[in-house]
Amino acid sequence: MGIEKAVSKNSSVDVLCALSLFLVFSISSLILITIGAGNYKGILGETNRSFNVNSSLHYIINKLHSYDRSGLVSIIEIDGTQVLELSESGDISGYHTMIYHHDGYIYELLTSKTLSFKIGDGEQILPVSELVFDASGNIITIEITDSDSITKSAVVCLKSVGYEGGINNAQG
Amino acid sequence: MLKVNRRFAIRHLNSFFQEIIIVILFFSLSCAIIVQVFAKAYITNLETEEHNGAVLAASSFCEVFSVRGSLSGTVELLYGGDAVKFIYEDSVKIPLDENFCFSQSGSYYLTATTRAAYRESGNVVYADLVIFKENESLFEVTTSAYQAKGAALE
Repeated sequence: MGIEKAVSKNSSVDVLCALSLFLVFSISSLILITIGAGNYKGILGETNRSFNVNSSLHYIINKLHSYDRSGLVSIIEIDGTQVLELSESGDISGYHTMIYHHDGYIYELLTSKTLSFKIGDGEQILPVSELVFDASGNIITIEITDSDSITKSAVVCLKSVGYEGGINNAQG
Repeated sequence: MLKVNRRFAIRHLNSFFQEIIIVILFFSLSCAIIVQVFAKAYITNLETEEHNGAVLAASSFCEVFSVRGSLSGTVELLYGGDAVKFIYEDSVKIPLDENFCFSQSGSYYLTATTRAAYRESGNVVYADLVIFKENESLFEVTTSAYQAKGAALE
């Protein structure tokens, strides 16, 4: 009877050891997966945030360069929102492209100059927290703030002579 | 009979125990590799962010320099009057913070060295721009501005 008890006790300890080892393995796996998922989520969020800000900046810089002709670029203010107005030239000179920030997104709208424009019209381009234009002479500074409140800026020098800079008020 | 059962139980447990140890060993190795992969991904992400910032800072510098044609005019417009004191003759070394804005105690640096090529109709001023961090170059570019004879740039 005594031997039977000892054997049973030994075997219980072995099972307990194996089970606790298995438990350690499971917990470690869980911790690793949690850390990995958190890390992946963080990197993905950071990459998206960076992509949105950098793409927006380069998009606007390229737009400004492509419209860098006398009198085609102006920054106006409509209902308290800064709008970059890029007028078309040639056969479609009656149209203009409006780029502005509204409701967490950069918006763009290509529309006829004769049609009334309201903030919120157009297509959402990319999500950013803030978009600020600062014009001084032929130099335009673009400042974009992302969802983490990090601001990045870029400077564009317009080579065309017609641009006088400054921000004008316009009717909505 | 009892002895046979006991031996069988011990052998069975031993093989389970060995299997678990091998699994844990394999897990530890995988764990080390996975942690390294995540760390590398994080570092790559930071480096990408640094490069993007450096490209934007260099692009802004080139934009202004191509119009102004001088280090003082470019530096003053981009980084303010305080940064002008970092200009030494035909070169400049400006400390920048992690957002690539002018900061006296910044860990990033923007250096630019100008050289002129004389032509009959005027000068072409080149600026060799390097943005670096702790002696490691992040981005290098050369920009130029044309100065017509008798016409002063802004």
